[in-house]
Amino acid sequence: MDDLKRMKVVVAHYHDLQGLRMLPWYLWILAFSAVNPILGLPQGQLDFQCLIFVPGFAVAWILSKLVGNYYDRAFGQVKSLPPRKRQNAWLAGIAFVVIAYSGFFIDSLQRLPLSVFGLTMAVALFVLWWVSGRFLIHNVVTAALFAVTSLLPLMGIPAGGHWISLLDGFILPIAFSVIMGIGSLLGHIMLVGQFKSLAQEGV
Amino acid sequence: MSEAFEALVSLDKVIHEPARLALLTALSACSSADFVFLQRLTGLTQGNLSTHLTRLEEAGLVEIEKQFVGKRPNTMVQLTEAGHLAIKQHWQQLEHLHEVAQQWRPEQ
Repeated sequence: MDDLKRMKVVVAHYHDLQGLRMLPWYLWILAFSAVNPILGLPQGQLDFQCLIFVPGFAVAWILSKLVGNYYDRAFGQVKSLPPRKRQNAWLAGIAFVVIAYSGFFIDSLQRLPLSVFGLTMAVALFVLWWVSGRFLIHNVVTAALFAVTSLLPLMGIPAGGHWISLLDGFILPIAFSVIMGIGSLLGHIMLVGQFKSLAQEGV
Repeated sequence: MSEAFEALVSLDKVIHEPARLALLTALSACSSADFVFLQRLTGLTQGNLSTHLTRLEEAGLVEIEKQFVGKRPNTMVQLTEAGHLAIKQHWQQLEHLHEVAQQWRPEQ
């Protein structure tokens, strides 16, 4: 009975568990964020970051597509959502981008003692965790990271600076990409493990 | 307890066969799934899976659609409305039986 319940979870969240699909994107963010600290350049200097941004985007997109094809061929295809809900997901994604961009604009004015962008990210990741079965812990960990970082200025951190110095720095995006990357790998391992164990049990 | 035994005996055997129950349960959690996915999920051989799906199709519980994606054949399977209803009722029956079985104490 428990095996069948576990199976139902895997089917319902098949796409959420395909962690390798998102891995190239997290590696892209990691490379973009870490290039300057690795080369010992100041964070504001955009030469190498720009060099990575567009080609990195293209490489991540191609790799993500290839990985998607691998999942389709190796594990098959599932249509998990009716079209109506998929449209809702798209609308939610567009709304998120608009709100996040607005938040970033508000933050750049440096009038609020907290980060609207960071809180938007925290809410979005929390919602993602909630709708994707509440077992992909990395989403909620990263949400907490963003929430805490966004609220730190209320407690006087960073001292004498605005929260934006935290975002402008490289630590937060690196932490984000590393946690999400590890979480994605764990999702993939969970998916593969489920297939294997069921095959062994022979249902 | 006899009521529980009667309920147990009355379970639909087309659905209650372990592989078919797994297939119907999996399909109830999505719009549709292809043959490869169902095979990987259940660990059944191609022949066995094909036989079980045919049985379910004959019972009107699933719809099977064969198509080509590029040059590759692809078989998509989805529950019919009757299939959705049947698996839902079957699980309700199983959960009821589970509850009854937990309350049952042998007479001293």
